[in-house]
Amino acid sequence: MSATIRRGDDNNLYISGELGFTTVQDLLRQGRGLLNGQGRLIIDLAGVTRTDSAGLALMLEWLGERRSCGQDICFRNVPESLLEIAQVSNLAGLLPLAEG
Amino acid sequence: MDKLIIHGGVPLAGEVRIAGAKNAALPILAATLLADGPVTVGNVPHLHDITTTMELLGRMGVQLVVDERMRIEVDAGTIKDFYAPYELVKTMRASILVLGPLLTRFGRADVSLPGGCAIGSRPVNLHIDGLRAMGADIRVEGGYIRAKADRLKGARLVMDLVTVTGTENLMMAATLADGETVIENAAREPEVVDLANCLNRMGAKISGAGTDSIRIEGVDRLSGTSYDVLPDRIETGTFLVAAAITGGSVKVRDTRPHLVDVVLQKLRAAGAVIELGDDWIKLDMQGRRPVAVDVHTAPYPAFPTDMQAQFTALNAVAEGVGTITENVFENRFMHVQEMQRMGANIRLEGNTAICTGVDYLTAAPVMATDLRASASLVLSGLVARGDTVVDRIYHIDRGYDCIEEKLAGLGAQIRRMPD
Repeated sequence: MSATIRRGDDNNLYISGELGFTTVQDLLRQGRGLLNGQGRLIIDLAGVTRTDSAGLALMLEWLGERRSCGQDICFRNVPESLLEIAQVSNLAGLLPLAEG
Repeated sequence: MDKLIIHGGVPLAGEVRIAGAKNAALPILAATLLADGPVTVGNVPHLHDITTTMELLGRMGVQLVVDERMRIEVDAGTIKDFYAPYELVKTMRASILVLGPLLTRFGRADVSLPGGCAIGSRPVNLHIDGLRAMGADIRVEGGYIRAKADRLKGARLVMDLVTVTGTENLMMAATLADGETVIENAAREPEVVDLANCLNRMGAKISGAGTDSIRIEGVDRLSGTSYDVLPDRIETGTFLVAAAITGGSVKVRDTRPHLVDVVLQKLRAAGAVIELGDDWIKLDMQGRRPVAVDVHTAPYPAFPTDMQAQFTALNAVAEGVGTITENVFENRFMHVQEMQRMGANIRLEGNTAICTGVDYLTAAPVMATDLRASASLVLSGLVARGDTVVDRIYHIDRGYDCIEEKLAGLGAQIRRMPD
């Protein structure tokens, strides 16, 4: 099980593969450096094949990192299952979502 | 605080899916502390007490992951703390359920005493006495139960009172004890059986769950497993009463009919036509007004105290006079005064509510005081004339997974008004 995060031509970030317990550490490492930069950053999750609450935790970690630098971030094409996990965890209101 | 606004008078119709039982999920989540590998728990209801339990385990260092199917995978191998703090225990009495597992697996536990309860006295001394009989060194100081044990020893435990969480805590503690434990006058509730089934799946040796005598032969270790929690019999009963009180026709799915035998008996006596399948129940009032029934609450398999308030609501609008006698908790009629605000004719005499059915209830602003009382006020609102506003619905949110969505799916005119 693996996952990648890469910068697209539109300067947004795209995650592919599993966003979950077995991959979050690697994604966190891959994301270092990619999350820098000014302006509004979109992380697109359309390529996510499987997810769990650890994936949600990573999204919140990235959210915290960007906001601590006074920068904007939002998530696009978030899988329905992840939104449900966020809902059950009372965290849905924290996730800034972009139109897919 | 959120409120529910209900416009009464709609007979409910359709199908509703029953969630997993909170009172089975909570001890099973505590039981994951016993395993030396990951335990995946499925059919877990989406309720605040579940997230509180997850928070409690998480604070101990236990690793928890919720997967896409909303199953919770718990691995206690990473545990660092054996401490259940007051700030969590005071919000959820069931936190006491970590006491037995922590003590028997890790040799120590510091668990806050739960404090008072709105519906009556539920002392934990039976848990403490039982663990002491198994060789635990327990001090109660500073509001905490501080427990230590090298390895618990099997013992014969005779419970003074029938207690569900007491039975569960001691049963869990006994799984890893040295020797055999017998719990006499044990609770017989299906949730106790479900916990025993899960523990046996983990490698425990428990027999007799569901009877008043449970035998546990201690083993050296328990291993990880996957287990789906049983359906919520109280949610099942509540939706059936909702159908009956509104004169509707509802099928409840993903449940187990035998869990609600006594409730079905009372609903048939109230005039409902009931059909059963392996995992569903259909109730049809055929447009009729229910007939009042007499109810006496007692431990399982007798009529459950958790359905008393719902049947009080049913009797409030039923034809005739019915008595509701509460034998389990001493202060479980707080919903009666709120129903009286809606025009219910209910007289309290000691532990009995004498309900003379009225032709209709009238909507009013009412306030929930506890979980099942709040459900009865929602049921009352479903039949009252006008718009009933139920305040303090955080009570109902503790025990019912998306109740307004499920009722709306059956045609009820109900909505949540956020604070």
